[in-house]
Amino acid sequence: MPDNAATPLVSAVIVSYNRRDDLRETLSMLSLQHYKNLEIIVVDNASADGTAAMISELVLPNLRLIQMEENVGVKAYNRGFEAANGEYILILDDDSFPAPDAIEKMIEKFNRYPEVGIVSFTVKDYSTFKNNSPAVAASTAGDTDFNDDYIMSFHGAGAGVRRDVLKKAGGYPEEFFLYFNETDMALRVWNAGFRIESFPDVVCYHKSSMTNRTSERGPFYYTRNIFWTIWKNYPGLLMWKATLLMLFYVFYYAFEQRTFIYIRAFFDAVVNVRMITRNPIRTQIARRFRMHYKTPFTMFR
Amino acid sequence: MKNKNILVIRCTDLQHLDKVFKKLRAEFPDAKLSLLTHRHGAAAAAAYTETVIVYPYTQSYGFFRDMKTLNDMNFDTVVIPVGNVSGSGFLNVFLFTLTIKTGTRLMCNLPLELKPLSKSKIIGLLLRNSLYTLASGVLAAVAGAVLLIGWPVFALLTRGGKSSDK
Repeated sequence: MPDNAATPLVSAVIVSYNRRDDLRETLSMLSLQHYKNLEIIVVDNASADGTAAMISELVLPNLRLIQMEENVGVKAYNRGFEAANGEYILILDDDSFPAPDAIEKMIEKFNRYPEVGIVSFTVKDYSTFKNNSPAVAASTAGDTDFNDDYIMSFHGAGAGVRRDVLKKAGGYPEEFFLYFNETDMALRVWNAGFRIESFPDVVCYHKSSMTNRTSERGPFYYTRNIFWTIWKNYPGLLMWKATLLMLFYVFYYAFEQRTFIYIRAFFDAVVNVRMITRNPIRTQIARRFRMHYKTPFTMFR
Repeated sequence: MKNKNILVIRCTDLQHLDKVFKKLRAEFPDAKLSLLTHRHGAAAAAAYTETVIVYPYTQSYGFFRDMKTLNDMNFDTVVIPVGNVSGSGFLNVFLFTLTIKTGTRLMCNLPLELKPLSKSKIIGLLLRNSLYTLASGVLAAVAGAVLLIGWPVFALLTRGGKSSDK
């Protein structure tokens, strides 16, 4: 399909780490997209399960593999963004995929709302996906009824970004390694004057575990990175207010869940603070932003 | 147990909510399911049920942020989906349910187990967690003061741009 104003090139950027079979399914689902002017960039974070070999065996037009030498976390997304040629970039996980009509609808939203910098997909559970059926019977009414009381982040398992917005606001914070990277980027996108909006008819599907998350990795990185997000982005008094609130949660949930993981994460944030650079955003953006302070404390045990 | 009229409070992500609704429809096939959600989730909520009630506050659900709309309604059961096994971190939602007229309260956890939550259990959790609140408040104040004292070093290490405020 020629690259013109009606069908601009979209670059799907997927970072993968040891999820070969999920990634194969994601790539297969991308081939079902109604929208065809699509390039796919897979950044492999040094998987040990033969992901790279699987990719090289696939015969998919416009599929490129970028191989990292080690697992660098979300930094790998930035390498994918840099390699992308599309006017729009579609961010996906290696275990998520868009509904067959989702990219078409994403472009429609971008065309209709020039102020929207990121289209956040409605992320549904994988089990609800029915092949070749309409994504959801959701109404598009209310599209223009954007919520200005508070503003929000986006879901990293499915989001479309304008390339020029990415250039202006910057990509994911590489020092975060994992988790909460979307929120840091979202604050910069809002601060740059663009909106982030979620649309119920732009859907992607994501796999998730039904078992409890007993791993300490999630709560650790989430907690540390919330502190860093606040310290990097929040202006003066708001930064202190948010820091105190987070400190309260750290101790409160350490008591409630009988764990030191949150305290360890806070100490890590302090000890490695030199890894972040402080660039406060506008106060009105920070005030209106709905920060999910409690997320790390509700995913563990 | 009579379960004809069930209110689900959305306090987890849509992926979990997909599974919770599937579970509830299987367990209570004749029940009318209503969904309470914040404003940002209202459009997506329409895909789950015809009866979507919008929580009028920006902040989290809370005992002191009750709703007039709900005060006039009666439910057989209120379901609180939680994103873990124990329900830790959702006490504010449990307390909020005390403002709703309902026969029973069920917590639906990550593995989709439906666990009853009595009023006395919620109040017990509140009393226990009040002690944690007190201790955490003191510790947060101390840690905050230490951070404030170390701020000049902190600012030097994170030196970057100036505020975007014009």
